Amino acid sequence: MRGLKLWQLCILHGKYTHSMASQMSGGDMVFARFRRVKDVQHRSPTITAMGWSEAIADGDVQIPDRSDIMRAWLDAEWGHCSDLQTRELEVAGENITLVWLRGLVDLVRLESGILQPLAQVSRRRIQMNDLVSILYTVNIREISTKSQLNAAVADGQVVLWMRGKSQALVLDVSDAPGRSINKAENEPTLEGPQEAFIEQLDKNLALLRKRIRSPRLKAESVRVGEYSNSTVCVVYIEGIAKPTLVQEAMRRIHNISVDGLNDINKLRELIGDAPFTLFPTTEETERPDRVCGNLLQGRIAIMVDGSPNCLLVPAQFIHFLVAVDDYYFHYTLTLFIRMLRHVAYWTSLLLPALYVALLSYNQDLLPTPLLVTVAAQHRGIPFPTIIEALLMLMVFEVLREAGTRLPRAVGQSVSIVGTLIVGDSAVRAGLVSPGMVIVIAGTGVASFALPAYGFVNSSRLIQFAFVVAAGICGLVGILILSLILVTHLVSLRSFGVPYMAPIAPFSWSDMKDMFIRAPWFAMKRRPTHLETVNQVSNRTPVPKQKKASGWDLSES
Amino acid sequence: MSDIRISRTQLITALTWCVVGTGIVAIPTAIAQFTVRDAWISTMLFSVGGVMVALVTAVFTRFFPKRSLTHALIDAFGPWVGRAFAIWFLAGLYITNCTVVREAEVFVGTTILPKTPEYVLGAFALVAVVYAVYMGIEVVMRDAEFITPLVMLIAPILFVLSMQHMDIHEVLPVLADGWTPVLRGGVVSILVYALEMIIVLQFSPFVHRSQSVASDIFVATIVITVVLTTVTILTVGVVGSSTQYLSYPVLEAIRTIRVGRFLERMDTLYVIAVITTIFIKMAVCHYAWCTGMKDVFRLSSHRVTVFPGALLVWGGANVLFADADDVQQFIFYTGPAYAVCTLLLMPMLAVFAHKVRRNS
Amino acid sequence: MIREARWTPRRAVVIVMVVLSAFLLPGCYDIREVDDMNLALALGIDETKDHHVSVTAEFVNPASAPSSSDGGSSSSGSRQPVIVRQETGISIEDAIGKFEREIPHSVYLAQNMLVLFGETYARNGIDRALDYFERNRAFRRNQLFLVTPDPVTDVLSASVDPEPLNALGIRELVEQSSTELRFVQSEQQHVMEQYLSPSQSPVMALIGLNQLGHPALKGVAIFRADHMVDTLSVDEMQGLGWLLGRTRQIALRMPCTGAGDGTGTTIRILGSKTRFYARPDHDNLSVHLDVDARAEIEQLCPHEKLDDVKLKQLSIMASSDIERSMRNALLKLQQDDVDACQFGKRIFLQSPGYWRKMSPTWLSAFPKISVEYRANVQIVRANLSLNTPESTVSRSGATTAEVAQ
Repeated sequence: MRGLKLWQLCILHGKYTHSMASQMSGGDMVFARFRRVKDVQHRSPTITAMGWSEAIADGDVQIPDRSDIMRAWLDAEWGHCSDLQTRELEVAGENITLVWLRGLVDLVRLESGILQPLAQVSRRRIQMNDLVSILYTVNIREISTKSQLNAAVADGQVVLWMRGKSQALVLDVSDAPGRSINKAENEPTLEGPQEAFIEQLDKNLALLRKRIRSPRLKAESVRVGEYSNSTVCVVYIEGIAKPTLVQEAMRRIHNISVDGLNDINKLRELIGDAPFTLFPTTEETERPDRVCGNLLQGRIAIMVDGSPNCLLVPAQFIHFLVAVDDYYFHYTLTLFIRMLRHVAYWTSLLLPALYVALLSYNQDLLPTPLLVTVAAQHRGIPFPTIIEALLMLMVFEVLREAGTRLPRAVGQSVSIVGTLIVGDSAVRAGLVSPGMVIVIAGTGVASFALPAYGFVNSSRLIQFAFVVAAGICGLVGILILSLILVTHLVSLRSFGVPYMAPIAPFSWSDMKDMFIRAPWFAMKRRPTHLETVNQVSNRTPVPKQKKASGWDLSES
Repeated sequence: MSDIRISRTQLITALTWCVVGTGIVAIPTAIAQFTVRDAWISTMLFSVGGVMVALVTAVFTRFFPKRSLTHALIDAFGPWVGRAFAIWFLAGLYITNCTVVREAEVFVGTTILPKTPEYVLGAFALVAVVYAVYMGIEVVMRDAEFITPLVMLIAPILFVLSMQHMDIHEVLPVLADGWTPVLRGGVVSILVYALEMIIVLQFSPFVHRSQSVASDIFVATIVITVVLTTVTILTVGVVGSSTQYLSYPVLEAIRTIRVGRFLERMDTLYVIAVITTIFIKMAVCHYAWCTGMKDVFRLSSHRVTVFPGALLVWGGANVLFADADDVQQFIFYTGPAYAVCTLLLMPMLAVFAHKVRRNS
Repeated sequence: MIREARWTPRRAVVIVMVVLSAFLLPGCYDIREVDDMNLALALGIDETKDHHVSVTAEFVNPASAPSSSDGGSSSSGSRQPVIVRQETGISIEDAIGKFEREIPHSVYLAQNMLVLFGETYARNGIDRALDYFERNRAFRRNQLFLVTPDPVTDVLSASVDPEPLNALGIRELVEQSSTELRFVQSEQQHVMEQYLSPSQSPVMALIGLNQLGHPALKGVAIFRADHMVDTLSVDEMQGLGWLLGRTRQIALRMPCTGAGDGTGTTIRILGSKTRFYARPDHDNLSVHLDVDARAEIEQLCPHEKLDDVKLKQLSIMASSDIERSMRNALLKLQQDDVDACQFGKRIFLQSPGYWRKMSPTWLSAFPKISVEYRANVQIVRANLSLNTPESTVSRSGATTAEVAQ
């Protein structure tokens, strides 16, 4: 909270105060943030020299009221911007200048909503207020500083300036290019809604609004990025989300000072909790329905203009093993699939390592007939198991990477060549044992069974560590590494919420949506570890098998 | 909120693993030195020790709410005498920790990694301990919590499977040799293992309500007693009279498991479960020691002593005991007396001194 | 405020160090690749003439096991699935040590499932081997201890078709019999249990070669403490089963009353339970054994009719058969003075105090124990047919005969 107040100060006093304030509150400052502050100090002179940021730095310079000064200023400020359009009109004897950027503005509306009405004005001595009523078809707001003017133009709006006035009007006819709303590609579902976010923030917000039709759905916006000046929006539901959580998110976003921010991953790395961990402490999704569900649970969403993904915080371990389908299928099926997914996760992490440990250290754990078979398979393979495993894992990763980047048609042939031909001939040539191929393939399949891509990537890396540990100390090595991993996992927090929350610290009531998904009628409360304002989420009575007495009601 | 909280579940699980971790390895052997058939009665006597500890804790937390034992000692006896006592207690903790590490080393070394030098195994385990302790008590406790369901998954499977070889006649007739060997066998499990629970006093400042610590110990005592008794009955039932001369009878009970041709030699799984619980024990002991050091030497954080402390423990574990036999001798014979002096008398002395000073 | 888990670079360094050292510390001391080991499945232990120990080891032959690289079909017939090698030394571990020096790849004992004692070795005392097997971490206590009267090498290299691996086959043989009589499955732990019990008389399964050269279960070997004393044949083994306690699925064959044409009545004992009562006396101990068994009929003599009388008769016959078999077995045990029937242990369970007085003179007292037997076989079902097929034939035959007359 102190941080927040300081930040308000910073906004008031501009950049230098900001860095000093950060230094002042920097008792517990992380190194990375120090560096960021240093960079700002270091860079400031250059920014000032370039002029554009000068306007930000001393942001409340009045818009000039003389037209020559205005023109000079515009030339200086927006010089070498070939897409800047200025149009000077004479409306009823008044000199009016319109400024906009080509391509960002809806030309039809500019024509019909602004230029035509202006041309029809006949009254003399019009004022700003008159213009507002004349241009009634467009959304208008009044600005008075140069920086606001710059921002409005950069946002794709039309700025209307009248000679002799130190105010200007911003006419909102922006229509930035973008694609239309498509199907969710990365998180497909069979039965749920198919819409996905796009790169435009306002459309994305609308997608949320149409699902939660309540003024309690709040969206607080912050402009971030020295140059990109993009909007970051914190969405939450008032009365559900923990207020300090929202404050904390806002504080972290306010702390950001970068040149440009157009992607959710950059944001996530800038505001995430544990910068060096392999595990994601924020969750990203492209599905508005998923965001809505999570908002109603008490989490908050952070959206960036220009990114088709949305960040959900706090994120915990379990969130990454949950797929949207879990909520669109009947709970009986979900129960089984969730269990399967937990098994798949640990399989993808540990299977190659276990295989190495069983083959090079703990052969006694294998049943005799199996060991005989495995030993026979492995006979004549030139590498020890550990090397074989690392080799195969590397090959698999390369194939996976090759398949991802290539166009879909080529990608398929790569995977066919990789898996069938290379795998089979490697076995036939006696370079790798068939068992190892099965294990690596099994690991890959297990990792494909997980819904969260970013999370799977962490296990892709960690499995190497486990294989090495298994190669060094067998099962004991795996055990010690898992203890370290578990210690790491339980020490993580995402926005103050323990990462492994329903398991450690343990909470029985939250188990309903953890290994299983309880039926909706049984899930009465929001997750306790999110410490929501309002705990109860479901007041429906538990459905009972009733006699068919209801027929009478429907008839009457 | 920056202040750390431990929930009751966490405390109970951590306590349980603390005792069961090494207890399951050493207690059956220790008791079998005196009695095999009635070993399970001896383990039931654990509850007596547990109740004793719970009582001491109740008294202690009444007089020193929100104080760790070392802090309380300093408060009660004044800075110099109190520190001397606290250091004595810390030395006790240190030795306990060394014993645990060495026990674990010997156990793993004998069972699954015979060619790896023991000190390497100890260092290997301490790496994980250091990391956990460095991250703080919350993390240690959550580790315990995380591990609980896993161990609870493995343990029943192992025990149900080993039951197929159980012969109830091995634990009959009850009390054939009278009560004397039973009581003598009980002394080891009661004193050393039950009194180790006193370590919880180091954590009482972090516990949600310090009044509940005593009842938590009581619950843990019941759980531990049930677990140990079940394990002992099973072990003696499966292994029989060999319990007396085998170093790790529970391990042997697990080793008998054979289901068809595909499921046998599960002992590595057991060893792994045991290492996991011993890891919790080491982390808890080491954390207690580190906070004690922090109180005594007014350090800024317990983290200062985590790494050097672990090195000390590692050294101690390998130097203080000449061989595996030495460890056993210490646990079976020296340990009980030492535990009474250090673990039981220390908090009582603190309470006593506190009372005297307040009255005068 | 929400507590943030902040990461300083120091902390990162600590973690990197932790993980790195975790990787580097232990070294690969215990690594043991599957390619580099000889999987020992069975150990045979016998004594040479000069009282040295000869150890025969049965190793898996990796070349013969099915493998994908050679197509799977070509190899299995030509090569032996197991390799049997023998070494002699002054002790077991000495001989096993020689394997290390004389066979490429190191010996891997953790998968060992049989220990086959030669009869000479067993008669001279297995106590020389017990501590080794109890102490060595590689051996699981569920490996079988067996005795063979034939040369150990022959037994271990004999073919046990259809099972390719000899040791697995032998183990299966023993396990099949153990469904009838539990004690036949003489795993190390049971042997040790019996060895240390008050009776001190382990029993081990006896594996010998039959006329065709295949291993077969020949009965059990009985030990007085660590010395093998005698063997019990398969029939006597059944008697011992009833003396000891529960049995399952034993077939009792009884001759037909009238015609001795080789056929007979067979009754399958579904399950039996033996109760043991000892009446401690000062001078001599009398023991009462009570066998309760449930049985079904497997075969009836031809032309016999199954009715109440026949059933009663059958159950009496079966009971006396059991009693006789118990008497024979016990007689042999008493002659050998081996308490393999665990009377000592059972007396101890009933009255520990009495046993304590008894135990010093137990060996001399055991042969003198007078034993009463009472078996009660209840035939619970007649299987699929209610009567013999011939019973109908004979009835109609009789009628036609009468008509003819």
